[in-house]
Amino acid sequence: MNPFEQKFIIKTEKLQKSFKKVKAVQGLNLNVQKGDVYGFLGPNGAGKTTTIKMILGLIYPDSGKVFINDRNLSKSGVDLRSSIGYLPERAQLYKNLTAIQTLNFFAELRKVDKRECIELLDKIGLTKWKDSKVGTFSKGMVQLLGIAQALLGDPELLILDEPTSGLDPRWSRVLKDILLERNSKGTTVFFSSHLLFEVQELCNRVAILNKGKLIIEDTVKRVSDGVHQKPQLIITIKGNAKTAVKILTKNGFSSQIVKNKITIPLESNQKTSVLNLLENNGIVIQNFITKEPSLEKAFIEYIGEDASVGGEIQ
Amino acid sequence: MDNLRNKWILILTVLFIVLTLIISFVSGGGSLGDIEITVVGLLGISSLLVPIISIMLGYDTISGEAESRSLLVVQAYPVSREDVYFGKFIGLSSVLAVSTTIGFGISGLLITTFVGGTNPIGFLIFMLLTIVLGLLYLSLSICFSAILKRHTTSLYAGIGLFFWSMIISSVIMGVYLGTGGTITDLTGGSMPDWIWSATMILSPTDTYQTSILLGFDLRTASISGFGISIPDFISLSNILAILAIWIVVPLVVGIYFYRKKDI
Repeated sequence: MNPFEQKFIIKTEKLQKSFKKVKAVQGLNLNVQKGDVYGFLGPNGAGKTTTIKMILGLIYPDSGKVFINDRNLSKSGVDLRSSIGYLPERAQLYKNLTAIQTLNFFAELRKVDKRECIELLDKIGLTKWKDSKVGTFSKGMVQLLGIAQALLGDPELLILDEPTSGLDPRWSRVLKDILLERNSKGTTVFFSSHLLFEVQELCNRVAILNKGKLIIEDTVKRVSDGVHQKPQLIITIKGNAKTAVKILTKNGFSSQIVKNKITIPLESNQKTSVLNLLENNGIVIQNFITKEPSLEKAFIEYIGEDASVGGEIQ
Repeated sequence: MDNLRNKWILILTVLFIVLTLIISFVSGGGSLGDIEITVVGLLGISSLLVPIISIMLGYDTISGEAESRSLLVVQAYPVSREDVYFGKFIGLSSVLAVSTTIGFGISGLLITTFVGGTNPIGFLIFMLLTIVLGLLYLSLSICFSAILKRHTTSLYAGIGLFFWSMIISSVIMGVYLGTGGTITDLTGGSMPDWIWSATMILSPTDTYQTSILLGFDLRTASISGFGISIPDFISLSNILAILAIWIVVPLVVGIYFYRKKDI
């Protein structure tokens, strides 16, 4: 094998799926590299869950192929799933089982040591409820238990469909830390989310899907930059902001005043020269912050006004 | 899973013991009746109860779990569709088999102890055939659950088939009467062979009841005012073959659909 060749843990080729007259996924080519934290974005009905289910062999594509670690899913799906942990959107588990029974059951399916179940319950903060039935759990607790089962056996690939749905901010933070910790040990994380700040915070690569079609797949930075956004320098000054804007305009910088703060789009290497320019002209800078390009803005621009719910009608 | 299974086993076992003893008591006119009388009395109840229990156990195994999304989690593990499908069939079959064996077994022992002079082999055949009847409806209900999307539709299909099995012999007899047959033939124990063949093939409930009579070596009997004379070409072995087909065919059809199913 060529040592410079990219290693893809998930690769899809011209994946296609329709439900009656709705084209849910159309000619989808995804490339998820080993070690990625990969964000899978798209509006409701874009085809994210359908794609995830096809990657797992839970639904069958009309055409196209899925490869996991270069192996064709349709030929060795059962074996391949031993290296995948999966959390479906709005996970439901067996209501009559307790938390520990649930994890023990899934540990048996994955053939992993049941001692890991106790450790995972501790990690997700459900030790106290280990003997309580899942039917008595809140939505967030079920979600946490669902996450724990996905982590069983330390799978090489985690596929999570809206993992923070139903979690309060504290547990969202715990989940993000767990994912980053697993990723630092080599686990590839593939997850779909509506929360773009979350994706921007966690992911190194993203794909945006709309009406079953791949709009873009790249690093978070390139996707954000792709809509020609620049970092923004936001300055709070002492005195009249209009004077500062005049100075900036005179020197070729576009800027605007929002709530007495001056916002200047610029390249990263221009920050010092702008600050020096203002100070040399007698402007007193109280504070400044730099705002990086936003994935949210990029998402909205890529999807545009086309972001209607559902796939494309044939 | 084990706890849930054990709970079902306990409930069904107690139900079978209580029912058998009540029927034996009623059939025996205020004291425990012998095994043969008890089994004849039980036939009607077990023909109704066991299929309904089996349908209730099996109807939401696939479609219900697919709707509740727990099947998504299970099938994302390294287990094949066959593992899940047959695993569910075997698990639920064990619930039926264990509860039937213990429930009827205990009551059978009690009757043998207190009444004596009984036919233990016949009773053993009754227990085995009751398990077979349960497996048959379980196989059918899991098959419906694999084919149909909604668990409520699977339930309706199971109940529909159960009613079909209850009425099909009457329909066949109706056809016979409508095409020149006489009521005397039907009640007098001289039904034409084709009615027997059609009923044995199309109605699992009638097949089960006939097989129980054969298990007790009763080729002629009177049930609900009907004189029954089972023709010689119907034997326990060919009835068992028919029941086996009723179990195997839905299992094969069900797994065929489940393998293709989008979860």
